[in-house]
Amino acid sequence: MTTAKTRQARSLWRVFSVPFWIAVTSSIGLVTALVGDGLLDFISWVCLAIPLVVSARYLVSK
Amino acid sequence: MTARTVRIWYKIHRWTSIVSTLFLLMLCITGLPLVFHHEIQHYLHPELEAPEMAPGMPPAPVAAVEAAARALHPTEVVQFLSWDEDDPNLMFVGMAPSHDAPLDATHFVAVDARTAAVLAEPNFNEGVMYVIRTLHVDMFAGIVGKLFLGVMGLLMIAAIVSGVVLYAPFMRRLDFGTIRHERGRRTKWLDMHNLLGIVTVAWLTVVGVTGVINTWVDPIIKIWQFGQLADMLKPYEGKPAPAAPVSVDVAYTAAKAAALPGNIPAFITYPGSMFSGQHHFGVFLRGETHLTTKLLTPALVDAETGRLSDMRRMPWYVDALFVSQPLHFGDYGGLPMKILWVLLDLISIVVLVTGLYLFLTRRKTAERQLGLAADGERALSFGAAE
Repeated sequence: MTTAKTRQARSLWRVFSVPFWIAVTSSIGLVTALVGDGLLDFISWVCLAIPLVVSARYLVSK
Repeated sequence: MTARTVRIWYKIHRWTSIVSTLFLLMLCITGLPLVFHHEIQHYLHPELEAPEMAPGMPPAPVAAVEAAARALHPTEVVQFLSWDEDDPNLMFVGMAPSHDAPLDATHFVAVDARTAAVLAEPNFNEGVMYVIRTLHVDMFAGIVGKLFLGVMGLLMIAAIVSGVVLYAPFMRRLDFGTIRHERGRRTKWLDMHNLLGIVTVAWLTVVGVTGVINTWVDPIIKIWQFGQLADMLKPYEGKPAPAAPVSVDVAYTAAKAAALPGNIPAFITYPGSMFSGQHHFGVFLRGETHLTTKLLTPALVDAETGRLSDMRRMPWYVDALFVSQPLHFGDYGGLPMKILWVLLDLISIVVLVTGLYLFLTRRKTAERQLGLAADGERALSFGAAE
């Protein structure tokens, strides 16, 4: 039985899931370049580019 | 979340934003060229580069570098000498009329570490970049300016937290990324503000927090001076400065011998400097990885005997300050990271500008729709309507 609390939690997660994962990958991106070079730098660039790509995608589409 | 709760968070978000937005805009805008500060300096001061020479040339004795600088200013004192972080062949000698001279009396002589030839005498306190950097760091208001900007940073963090909380009721019925173009400019800009704000939360929070920590540099250094440094100098309390101090090479050798593997000297302060006291050379060692390159270990060498008297890792709060620097500047991941840093900064500017617009054009109707009307409470609990 879906209680009001479960519906509440699901609804909250629906709103925050994408922002949450973007924040997690951004944080990973900020840290990886700090601990090494080469591949770690590359991972950092990809992670930090995600907010930019997501922004561009939704700003451009009509 | 009741309407009353939303209203409280809304007020927090609005007021912390109002007070700080203009200063944050200044910080974001001055921050844009500062991301490329290093490259711009190289472009503006081409003479500040150690010339190309045969690779693997051994460095000249440090005393020779000191002598080259002294020859230009024979009546002045040497406060410190340092190695450029990116090019160990480039050294700087910091000189001043006396050890008690005010901080802005210190000037630099750039010397080639291999030949001990003087390269230039740069003045870092002039030019466009000086103005931009000083505006960003303290708005030309010294420690008061720094601390004030630190408070603005703390307000920004409160605005970010309250913004994230408010994201929920605003996005309750909208898919992620929705931008409602058909409801007029205000709604469109609100949706843009929410989208751009929420995707940059992590980056902006890190840059904001590290920025705040950097505004505390003066008190942090003072605490270190009166804490760890005073402790290391205790055995020498009251002893006069040595009449014939040993050569800096002796201090350099003693420190390198005691240094942990992987540590290289970052800078050396001379007896009389406030960073090592009257009686000692301070050989400040650092690591070579991205992280440890900022973490300093001062090695105090007795200037009379040339022997190491104490060597300790700097305390956690100094480490926090130094680790905050790369995370704030974005200079630890090569050129692509700097470009990403600038783009994220531009997005932050859009968040601030759209926020300002939303505040200036706020209307009672919009707030009522959010259930914030003073008349009657409407439950905004999640899932209730589903």
